[in-house]
Amino acid sequence: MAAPSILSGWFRVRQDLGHHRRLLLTLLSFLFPLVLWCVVSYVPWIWHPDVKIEVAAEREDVTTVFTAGDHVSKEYFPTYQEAVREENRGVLAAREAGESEGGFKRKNQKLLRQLAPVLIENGWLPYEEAQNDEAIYHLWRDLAAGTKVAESPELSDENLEIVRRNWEVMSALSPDFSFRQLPDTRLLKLVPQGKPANPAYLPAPGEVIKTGWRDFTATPANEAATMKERYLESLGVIFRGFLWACVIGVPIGILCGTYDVFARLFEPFTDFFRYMPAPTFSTLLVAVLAADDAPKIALVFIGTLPHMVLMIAKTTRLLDPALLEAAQTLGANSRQMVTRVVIPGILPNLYNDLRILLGWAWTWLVIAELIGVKSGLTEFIETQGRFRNFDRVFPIIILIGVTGFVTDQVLAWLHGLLFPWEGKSGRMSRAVAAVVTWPARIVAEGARERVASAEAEREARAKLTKAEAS
Amino acid sequence: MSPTTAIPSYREQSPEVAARFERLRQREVTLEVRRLGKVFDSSRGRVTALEDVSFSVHHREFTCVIGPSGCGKSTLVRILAGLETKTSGEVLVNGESVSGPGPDRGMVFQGYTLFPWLSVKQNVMFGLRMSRHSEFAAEREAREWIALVGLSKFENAYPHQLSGGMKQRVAIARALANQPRVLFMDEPFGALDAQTRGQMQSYLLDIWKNVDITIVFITHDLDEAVFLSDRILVLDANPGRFREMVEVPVPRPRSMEQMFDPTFLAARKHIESLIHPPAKDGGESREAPVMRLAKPDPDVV
Ligand SMILES: Nc1ncnc2c1ncn2[C@@H]1O[C@H](COP(=O)(O)OP(=O)(O)OP(=O)(O)O)[C@@H](O)[C@H]1O
Ligand SMILES: [Mg+2]
Repeated sequence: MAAPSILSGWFRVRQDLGHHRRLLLTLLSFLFPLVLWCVVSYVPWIWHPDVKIEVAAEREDVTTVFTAGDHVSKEYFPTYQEAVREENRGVLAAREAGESEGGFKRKNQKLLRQLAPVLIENGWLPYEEAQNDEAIYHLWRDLAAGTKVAESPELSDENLEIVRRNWEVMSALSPDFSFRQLPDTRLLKLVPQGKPANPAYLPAPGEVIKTGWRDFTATPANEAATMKERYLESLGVIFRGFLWACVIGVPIGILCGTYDVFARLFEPFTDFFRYMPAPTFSTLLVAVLAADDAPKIALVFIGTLPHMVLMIAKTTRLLDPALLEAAQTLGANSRQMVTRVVIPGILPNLYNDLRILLGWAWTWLVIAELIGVKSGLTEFIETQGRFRNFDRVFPIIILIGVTGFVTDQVLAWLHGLLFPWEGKSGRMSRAVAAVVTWPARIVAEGARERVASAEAEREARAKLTKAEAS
Repeated sequence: MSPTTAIPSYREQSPEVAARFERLRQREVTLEVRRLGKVFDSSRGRVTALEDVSFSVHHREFTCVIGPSGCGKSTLVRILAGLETKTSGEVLVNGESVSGPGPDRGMVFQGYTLFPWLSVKQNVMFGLRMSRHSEFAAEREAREWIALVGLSKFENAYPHQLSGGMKQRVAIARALANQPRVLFMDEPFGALDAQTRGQMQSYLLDIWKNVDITIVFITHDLDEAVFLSDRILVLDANPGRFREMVEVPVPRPRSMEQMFDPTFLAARKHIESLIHPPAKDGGESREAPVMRLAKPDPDVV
């Protein structure tokens, strides 16, 4: 009873929890959404209103074409399968009846490729070779002969049977692929296969990781940018836009917070300007700054600047005026009050303001990349989203999130290191600071000693000359 | 036995004390305030904070300013330091009229006001650096002042690592390092606990003894005022007016034991009567303003 229970003390009004508990909760706060996502994705009887097609079939006289990876509703899928089976029955019936309607080479070539997604998923066919008919032809052979067995996804018995039957027909004509040697009469279509899935907009974590990995490592065809190039491009735009905003915004903000003249001169208009959404200027920016990156950088700049000015002005005004009075009684003139009191005094808060603003700048970046010629990560999101390839969109969204979060965490940690007088630095950051600044401190110490000895010498000499003179 | 029965008049000074005051009066006047007035023009109307305040302080004199809350003590000292503009009157330091703040008048605030981004040493160096001392000279001098207030061990600490009393010692060292002619202190020990406050008072007297400085000290604590000062300026409230300049008859050097001397009590009692005038109807007979929530108990009265 007396021993502190692990269950007690979790709910105390405005009291901090212990270090371990905090760490645990931080982990949980990330784990909880992840687990929720996994559960919804992988426990089949939760939700799963769709079927994700693994083997697709084109139907005669139906214009809607599904491909592997598409989603159809659970209710519709059996109808789809049944329609293809019906077609197959027609083919078999015609074959029995000895009818030999020709001209199906082209269709049969397409039919062979029905198997490609399964072959790719099983790792027998590289992703880029989905139309390599020679390889596909041989894999039909292997599957029919049973030397290869599809495991994930499996082929249904029904489809395996169809593979064997088709191979019988095909192998009679040629052991290797050649278009001319393809059967001229209809082959049997693979019956659509699929597995229960959530709607396309909620891909499972595994799929997201897999497609993410593929997109991040792939070298795309026809000279399109690699993901790394896109990432660096996005970072470049946000960094330059934000840097320009800092170069202009920080001094103006400090001036506004320090001198009423500047506050009255700049703040009313800035306040008005920030209500005009930055994206509304996009067409204007593209027209004026036609060059590729410039309008994008300008948009990040325009989006960030007004907030930066107002925020920094406010931060500056929050500096304890008593510090300025103290400095005055110590003989500081107005220039010194700004350089020796205002600026160092607001620095830690200014740094935090910039951290918050950098977070917002990501929002402007996403909009900026959509204006003019679309570019960077957002262009990828936009394109893939239009094809409903949400499993390729999610990795990018997560990448942006992780980048923003990690940057902010690193900057927060640096805050303790840069501003030790705030008393918020942990032991770790203090140790790092001690190591990093060690050479500088040694140099400074040496310089100070040299100056001190020089001064002492000069004073001694002055005393000596005075003594000689008297 | 009760000391209250034997309290002499606060005007009775022993010959030594009287002689000392005579000598003090002979000294040059360091600070002179003539018919000082201050009216605040705020949006809620005009507030007369000070009206017609005149007094003078001699070289190395220790003067306290006391008065009821809101009587304008802070306003007075802020005008003297140059942090507030005066509406009328004149302030002279060593015969020169002052308008803005300057390093000849140091100030110690109740809220410490140390620069949090500077170490103790750098805080003390601040004023010296403003007046174009070289880094080297400033550092050497700062070390001496830090040693004077007994904080050499903490010269590289940041203010947030210090206790309230230590912070106030740094603030004093910082103000003194500039070697001002007058040091204004606005309730500097107001935020400290009684123990620390007593120590700081003795400390301040030690510093005053060893440094060429004239001190004007604001307080609302009667004991503090009597213990520290040569003379006490008592202000009236609403508006703040000059009430009386009381010469404290307690001999120097001061020590905590003097708190029960008849001279001490005499001065204290007189000032108390100035600040809180006895009620006209005799004071004691007022009806309890508190609701009676328990039965009358003869042992609890
Ligand atoms: N900036 C200001 N604007 C308007 N009125 C002010 C201002 N500063 C002070 N006052 C008024 O001047 C009067 C004196 O204020 P002051 O702060 O000098 O009193 P004080 O004696 O220091 O009080 P305390 O003992 O509480 O510190 C008060 O009535 C106050 O309301
Ligand atoms: Mg006050």
